[in-house]
Amino acid sequence: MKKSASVFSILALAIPLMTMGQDTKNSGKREPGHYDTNKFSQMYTQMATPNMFRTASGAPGPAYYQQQADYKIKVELDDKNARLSGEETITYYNNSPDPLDYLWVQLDQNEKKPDSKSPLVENQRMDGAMTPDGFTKKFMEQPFQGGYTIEFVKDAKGKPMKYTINQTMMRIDLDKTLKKGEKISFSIKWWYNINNYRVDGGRSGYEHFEKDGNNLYVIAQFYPRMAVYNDVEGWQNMQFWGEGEFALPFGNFDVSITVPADHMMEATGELQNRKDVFTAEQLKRYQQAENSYENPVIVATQAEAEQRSKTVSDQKKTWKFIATNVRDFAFSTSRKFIYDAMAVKIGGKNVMAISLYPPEANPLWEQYSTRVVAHTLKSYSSYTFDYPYPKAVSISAEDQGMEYPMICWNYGRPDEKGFVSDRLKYGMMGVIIHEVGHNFFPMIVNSDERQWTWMDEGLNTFLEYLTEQSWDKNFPSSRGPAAKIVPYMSGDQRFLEPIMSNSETIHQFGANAYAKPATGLNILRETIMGHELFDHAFRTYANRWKFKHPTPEDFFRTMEDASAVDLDWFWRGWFYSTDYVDIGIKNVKQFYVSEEPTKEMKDFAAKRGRFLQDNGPFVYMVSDSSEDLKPGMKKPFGIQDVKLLTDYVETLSPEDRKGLKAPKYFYEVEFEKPGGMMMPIIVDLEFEDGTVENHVFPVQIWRKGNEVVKRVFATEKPVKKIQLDPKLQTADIDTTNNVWPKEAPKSKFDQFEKN
Amino acid sequence: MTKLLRYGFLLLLLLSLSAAGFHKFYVSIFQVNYVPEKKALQITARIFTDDLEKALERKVKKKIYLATTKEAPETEELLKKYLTDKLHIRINNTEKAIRFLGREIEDDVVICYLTVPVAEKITSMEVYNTVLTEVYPDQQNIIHTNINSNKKSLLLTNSNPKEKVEY
Repeated sequence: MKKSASVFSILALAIPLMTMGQDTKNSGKREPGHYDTNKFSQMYTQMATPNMFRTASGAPGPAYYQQQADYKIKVELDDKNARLSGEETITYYNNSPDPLDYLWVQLDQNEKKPDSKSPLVENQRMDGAMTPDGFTKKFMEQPFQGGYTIEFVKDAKGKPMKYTINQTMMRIDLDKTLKKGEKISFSIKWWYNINNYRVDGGRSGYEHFEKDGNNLYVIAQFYPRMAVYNDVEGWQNMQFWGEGEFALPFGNFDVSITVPADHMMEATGELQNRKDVFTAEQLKRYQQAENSYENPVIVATQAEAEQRSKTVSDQKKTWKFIATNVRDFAFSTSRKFIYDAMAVKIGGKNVMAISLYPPEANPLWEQYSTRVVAHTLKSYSSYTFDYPYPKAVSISAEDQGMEYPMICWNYGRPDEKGFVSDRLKYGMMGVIIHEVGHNFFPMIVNSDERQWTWMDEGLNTFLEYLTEQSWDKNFPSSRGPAAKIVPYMSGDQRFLEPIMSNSETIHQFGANAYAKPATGLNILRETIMGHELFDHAFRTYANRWKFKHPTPEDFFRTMEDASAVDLDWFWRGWFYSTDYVDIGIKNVKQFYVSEEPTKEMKDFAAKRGRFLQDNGPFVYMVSDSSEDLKPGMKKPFGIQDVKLLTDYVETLSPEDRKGLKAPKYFYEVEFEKPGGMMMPIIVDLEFEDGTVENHVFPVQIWRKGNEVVKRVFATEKPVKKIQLDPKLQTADIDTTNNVWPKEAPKSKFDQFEKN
Repeated sequence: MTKLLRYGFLLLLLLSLSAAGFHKFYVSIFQVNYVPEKKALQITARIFTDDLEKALERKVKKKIYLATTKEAPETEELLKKYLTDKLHIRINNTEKAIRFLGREIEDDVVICYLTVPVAEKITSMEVYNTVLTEVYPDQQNIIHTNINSNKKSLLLTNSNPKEKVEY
């Protein structure tokens, strides 16, 4: 047994070596050398060098630091003129080892200034036809007078500070260098006109209700915000052009918001004076909600909201919120709001799930919003860490889908007749899951959105998919399953960028920064790593970087470090390139067993070198296309027909003989890889009796940069069909080469033509 | 709602410029294959349901509830007319009739199946496609073609609604 096995393995090695030798002889010109182009190589040159701030394992290093910005803000809403004015004191802590001579503050509202450069970098064309209001707006009306008016910037002693505004960034020059470990306090007074976001666009602003004249405000990016200073970017002061979202340091917020007395409000942070702003009845209902784990409790009813919407109070009320360890602050206010809430137990702690919506959002919102918030908090917590904030709020804002710490804006309302299509219902639930989910990425795992949209959108869309599926196993999730990314990845290369591209430079933003990374993670979880290894590694990343600022490398490294699955090939192909998956079956040969040497083997024996002294005897494998295949050979293998084998088996002990398999059919399958992105080879062998045998060959089968690879199968039943990637797990962009024998692809056209 | 529709044109232009956490993107994908056994082009059009609904509702100035249980009975005719209005194919410089076979829904996308009989050898194909460009000025219609194993992709937009491929 031992001897013949060694001879066969040498034969198997020798044949490819011989053919390679011949190839070199035949090609006339000597090939030039090349660098290492192997796709399994470790990505030392593409990834940032590990250092004391960020380790090679993907964790924060011993010298890791992050800055802190605390805010004390007072704002007042002028509802009549849709204007917001405020004054804030920022206390900024320099925890970095570097001395700072100036600070950068973000003025996001300036993106809406009449002289903003954002519209100037857009491609324009003349519309062939325009509505009268469209024409007027475009060519005749004054632009929206948005953007900050900065009234002052003063230091802690009230002395004006020198500042320079460059579009959406303001540099404040310091009289005295802010050294390591020092802090500085300064104040800014400002106001701006709030945009009607349905007319002038934007992630925040107000929605106007023609019917009752009221506005629903969703207010964010409303105060000058500290930019991030860190070990990777220095100051992250890339301008806000509109696409790449935000980079923000953590801090504590103390915010007072003055609005008309008949408004209902929610915001980031814990409300400090509920008894001043809720009615006695609402307070009582809120307390009920704090103990209601099954169903939401209506705290402010539709009847109350409708009553409030009919009049306009000239009184004011101030709502006070305190938020600890958040990277941002947002609020929403309107006299139209209904308010409902319920409690969710997360890690033994109570979290409030809350929804605010106008009467126009019913019957849909009362039924689903708060329940979906509660489900999202539980689901995301199970894959990451226990949700650490005291609440999560979903606000109904038409045309929106935007996230802030503890609060988010979500679209989806019935039409005026109260009709809700499934598409709208699932769209609304999907957006709530997505935006509430953003609390985890990037609000807590605080990546830099200005540079890398995918780091929060991709990870979040991945968990959104899992959360949708656990909410309703028939949830029509459009992003997550591998097959759904195929239309994007098979697209024209001119309009594809690697995921590792800056947010502003992407052609198909949704597919590139949301769907493709989410699908990649899903493929890792389902097909490459398995749930246990993936979930542990993903959870490790989330926990290492919660309340910190991770980079892409920190994610890539942690996923490997915590799982012992080498993933450089995956990051390289899926995240750093636009390679696509296309694996196919190139050729299938069936073999029969014979005692007579085939011509090929005879020739081979003649050429054998001194290492192959052994003259046999051998059994020979004759392929179905071989000239040595004689009539009569084409039958299932039976050991009794091959004396050599029968004799050999008789020399085995009875126990060994009992364990022998009885293969009857032999196949050699050649796989090819027209696509540049590698994947494991997943194969189903379907037998004539309808049973199926599944084989998986790890992705390392491609490790030598080979374009083709062969595998041999010995089966007890005749193979009727070979199917590659039977469950569409690999995002293979061309499945017509995935089946043997070749099948005409099932055509929907034929089906429709028949009807 | 009436205000929204009045502003519709302008509004959508602006919205498409402002991305949000939940991103809307304006892309339809058309796959055009020549199938020799059928002597025909087979066209699969993948269009976002909500966008297509908006376009059709503009034509009839009423709600049609596309792909819902309440879908208006004239929707199919409307869709046929819309597609044959907005999509034109010239083979060897001759305009060809496009036949609408049927449609199905996949998640948030309507997939339409169209066919164009072509008996002659194809030496050139011109595609004109303005699907949704009247609703969304930023609409991109991506046309993947596969004619006699010759693959080519076109990006058609409002400012560049037609392109020709020579074989």
